[in-house]
Amino acid sequence: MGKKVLLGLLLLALAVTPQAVAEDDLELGVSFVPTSPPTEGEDLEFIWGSHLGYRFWGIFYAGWDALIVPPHMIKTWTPFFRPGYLNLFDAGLRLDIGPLVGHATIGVNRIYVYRQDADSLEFNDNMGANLRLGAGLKLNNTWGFSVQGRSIFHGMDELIDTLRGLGDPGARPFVIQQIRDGLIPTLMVTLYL
Amino acid sequence: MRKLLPVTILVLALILSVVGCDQVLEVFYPEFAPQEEPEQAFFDLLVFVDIAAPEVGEFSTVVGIVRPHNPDLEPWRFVEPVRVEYTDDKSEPRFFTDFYFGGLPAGFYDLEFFLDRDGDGAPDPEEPLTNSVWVRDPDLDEDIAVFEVGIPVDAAPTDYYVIDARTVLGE
Repeated sequence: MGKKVLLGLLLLALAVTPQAVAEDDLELGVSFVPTSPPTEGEDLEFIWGSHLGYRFWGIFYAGWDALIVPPHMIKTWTPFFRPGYLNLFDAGLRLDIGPLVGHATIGVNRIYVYRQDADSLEFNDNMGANLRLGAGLKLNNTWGFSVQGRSIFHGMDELIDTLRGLGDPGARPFVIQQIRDGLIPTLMVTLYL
Repeated sequence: MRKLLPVTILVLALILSVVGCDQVLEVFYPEFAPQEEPEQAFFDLLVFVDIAAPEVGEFSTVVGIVRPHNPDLEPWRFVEPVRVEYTDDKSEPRFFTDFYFGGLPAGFYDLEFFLDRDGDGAPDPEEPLTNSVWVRDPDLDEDIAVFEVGIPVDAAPTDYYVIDARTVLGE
């Protein structure tokens, strides 16, 4: 079932955008992730992030997002009250259908804490895995914007089990709910090179 | 040129991911950036001296000296009379006192403590404390090198550095 869907998407991409297959392109972007403030009553916070993506062989895609995480969030993941990065390394597919751009990727997450090497900080930097789906518009072939949803999992095994569950009609509602619960919405502005 | 650009940017990204780019975090969170003028920071130092003694009731004097590594600063010397007594949580007789050094400029200091029963200002020769005093930072829950207390040069003006110094006599 999963292979048929993947093959269908591949054929669709080849059929709709034959010119895109011949072109690789690079994405540079800035992302904004809304997050809860450290104390109630404060305004909604935005996590800034930088984005680097590369589409190759027409539809294949690899990306790196570095989100600048505030100290209070780093403190919940590590023993340290310092700012840091949540690095998201993804691989998957990018489909261009006219001006529409769609992403579907999976990847692993790593934490970097401010001055972790200079101060020899020791902690577990593994932050599990993520599944990302996104859609947006590409304007004038030079820039665009997209809305993405990223679901965080404890590890790659859990992510793969979840994807398998999508193919099981009995488990599908539960799996979709699980993806929704962990969903982090992201707005991204991208420059295409 | 167009083909080289992605490779160049990917290499730069790889370098950034390795070094972590702390400077970017300092832009977003400047309160975590190193202070520009650390030499103007001051801190207070509180040292607890806890020394095992042979008998209860004995009187003595504990001398504390703070020696700045900065040659422009003079050492600080404190003298504290003490009486050996039992402490609440210890069954052994102890000398117990504390030293408070206020307004020390941020920097590195050597701390020295010794008993001076005869009052000559020098350590009693029969009780060479300098080999057995250790200094502990209770906040970090770890020992600091004997007589070599590294005070962070970026200590904030309000920092209150507490050190627990203990030693054992009569070995």
